[in-house]
Amino acid sequence: MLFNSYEFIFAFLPITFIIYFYLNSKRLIIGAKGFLVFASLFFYSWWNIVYLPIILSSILFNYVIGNTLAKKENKSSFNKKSILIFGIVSNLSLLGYFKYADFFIENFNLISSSNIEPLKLLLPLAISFFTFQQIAYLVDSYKNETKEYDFLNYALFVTFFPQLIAGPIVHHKVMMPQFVNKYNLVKKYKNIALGLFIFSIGLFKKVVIADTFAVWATAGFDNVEVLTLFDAWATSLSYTFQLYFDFSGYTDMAIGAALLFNINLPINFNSPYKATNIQDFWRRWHITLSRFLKDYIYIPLGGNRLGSFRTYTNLVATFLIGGLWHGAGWTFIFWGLLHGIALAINRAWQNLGFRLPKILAWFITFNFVNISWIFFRAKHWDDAINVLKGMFGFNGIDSIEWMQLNYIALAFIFVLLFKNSTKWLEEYKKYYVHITFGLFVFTILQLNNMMVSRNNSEFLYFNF
Amino acid sequence: MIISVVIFEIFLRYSPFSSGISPVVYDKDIGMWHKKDFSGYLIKECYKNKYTFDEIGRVANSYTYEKNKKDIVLLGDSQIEALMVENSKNIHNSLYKELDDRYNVLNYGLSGTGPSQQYQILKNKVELSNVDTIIHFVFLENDLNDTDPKNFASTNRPKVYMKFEDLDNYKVIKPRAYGIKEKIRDFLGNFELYAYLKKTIYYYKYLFEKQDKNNIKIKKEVFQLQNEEYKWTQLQGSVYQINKLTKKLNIKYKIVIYSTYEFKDNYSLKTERFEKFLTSQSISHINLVPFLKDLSKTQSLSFECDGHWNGDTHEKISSFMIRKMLGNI
Repeated sequence: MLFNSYEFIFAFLPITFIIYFYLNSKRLIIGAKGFLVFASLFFYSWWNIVYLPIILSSILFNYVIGNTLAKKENKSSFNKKSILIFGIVSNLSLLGYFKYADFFIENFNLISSSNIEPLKLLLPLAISFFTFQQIAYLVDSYKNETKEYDFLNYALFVTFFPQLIAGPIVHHKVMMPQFVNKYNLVKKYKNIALGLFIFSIGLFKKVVIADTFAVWATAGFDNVEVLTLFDAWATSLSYTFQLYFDFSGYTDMAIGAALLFNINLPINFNSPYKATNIQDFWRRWHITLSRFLKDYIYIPLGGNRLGSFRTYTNLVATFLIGGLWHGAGWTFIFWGLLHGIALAINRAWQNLGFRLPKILAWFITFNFVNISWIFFRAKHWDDAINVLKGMFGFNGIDSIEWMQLNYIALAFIFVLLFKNSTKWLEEYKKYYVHITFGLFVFTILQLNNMMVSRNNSEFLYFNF
Repeated sequence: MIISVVIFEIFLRYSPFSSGISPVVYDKDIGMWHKKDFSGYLIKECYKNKYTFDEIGRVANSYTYEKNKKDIVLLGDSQIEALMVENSKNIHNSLYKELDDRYNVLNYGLSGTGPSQQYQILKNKVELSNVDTIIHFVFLENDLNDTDPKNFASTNRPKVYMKFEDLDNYKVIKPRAYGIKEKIRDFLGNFELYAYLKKTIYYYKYLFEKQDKNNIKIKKEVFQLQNEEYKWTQLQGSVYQINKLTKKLNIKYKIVIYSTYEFKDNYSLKTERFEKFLTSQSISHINLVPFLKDLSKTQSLSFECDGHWNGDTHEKISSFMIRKMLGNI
């Protein structure tokens, strides 16, 4: 079920909300939680019910392993480290089988000139998200940083529908206390107002802004054979804004939907295109993934504790994994490599004590991010090269599409000069209720427009 | 709420989701007619084209009208109106060039019309005293269906139609009056929201019709069987009356035929029946299908999203018509 669909907005969300709080009001707390897990699994199965056994098995498996690891006295014949390694390897194997098997086969065929048939498996929805979330849980259980949660709370932690499909990647330390807090079991009108406000902002970002840029990004990347200078820049910038408004819109909607249930999800974006260096960018973009990569990959690899050279290689290795996490393709790996190298250069630059004027630093950072997104978006190398060639003037210069240019200018104003949605939420005023309503009406009109034009689009991060 | 709707109208106008605003208004004789001295965009997934209507509401010429030259008048539906085609390539402007500027070629094509409305356009909108030739484009399947008022959806603009008992006897059924519904429609027609509302209505209508698909299919088939002969009477009646009028005024009348069935499935019975009728009435005509079939081997004929001929096809059809039909005028 998509957050930007009628069935979610007008049926699933209100019905789930009403039943959940009705059950809580009757003091059927376990029943309410059970219902929320059921509703979340229903939400998950809406696309394809065949995915359901995979997520259920994954939850059960990780719950058992996590609880075994969390027990202070380990009675099993295996030591804790072996159990942890078994747990992580099993999770990665599941992810690897569904997400990377064909990529591996294709490359193996290429190297060995063999002809192994690809498996052509359907990628279970959100597998990258719930696998990472649960690996973190296992690692923390190993470190005795978890408590012995009951299965229902654990299942809710993994399946809670606002964050299930595309994050934010939540941490059990943040979520579990909220699920057991009895003050969260009653309706809070302030949270409803805040939730609807940020949900409407997210819906607007996705349906109105991101999907408008999607028209130009898709045309440029997928339908035009030769892009001239302005077209190529407009295409890459369109995708840069599409991705930001799409994903941050999704996150806003997730935060809003969770708030209706009195659950605070962590923020995932903090005006990333205002970043003045690449490290700053990763502290602002997909914050929960960055945190995961730092805590569970970069630091275990040694972080910055093993000298400069190892710090740089750790950064590159972490981002190579980050790239691969996003998708099974060389363009994603290359995108990760670019960011890893950029972070290493940035670190070296800082160590040398160099400073750039703020505007120049922003300009370089933004353009690096914009150019690297080309590899992230392109389906094939050739598509990326086509856009890049255009951007550097190899395909000549043609006229500008003024409408697109105006939208790009507006997007720059939005992302650079305006407060982001999290700030708006923090400074919520009573009259924002009118903004909520206005945004909601406007967005529903456009949502209908997309639907009747057979143009309804998914969120980009569902692919990961 | 109102502010949101107003901003949404502005957004539609200045976004890639624009559909353009309605090119027609209510007309007491035809039911609808192009807005006069009007320019707009026709926008779909596969084209975005600026069109212009002149002071009479005709599709604008790319040349200057000269009173000392005789007129050639084109009649037809959206394929001839061709708002999606670059104006200089539109069939009337292409013919003008092909005829070496010897005639004014005027485009009276109007989307959503069939022969009986086109007859009324001829009578009510065309200055017949200066006309040398009328070229009438008949698109068989569309025009047969358009003769039946039962096919006019209530959500569509009103239309005049002629109800023929036989070739000579008919009744003109005037379009419904300019009531509140049409006034609202004309008002909304100035906004993008009108196209938006129409799209929405069609979408939901189709969605609910789909629920009862089989039933509707059966009904439709029975309806078509019952009405086949009725439709032929209406089509032939309109052509017969145009021929009668042009003969009286000493104007040449020529017909260009196109059949989707013949083009796609080689089903030529309808074309043959119509050609036989035209021959019996001594009406000069040509069939475009064999030419277009040949042409499709070398170029794409139409826009992918709605099947209307593209600009190149308009130009090629013009050359073909000069060779086969208009060479001696």
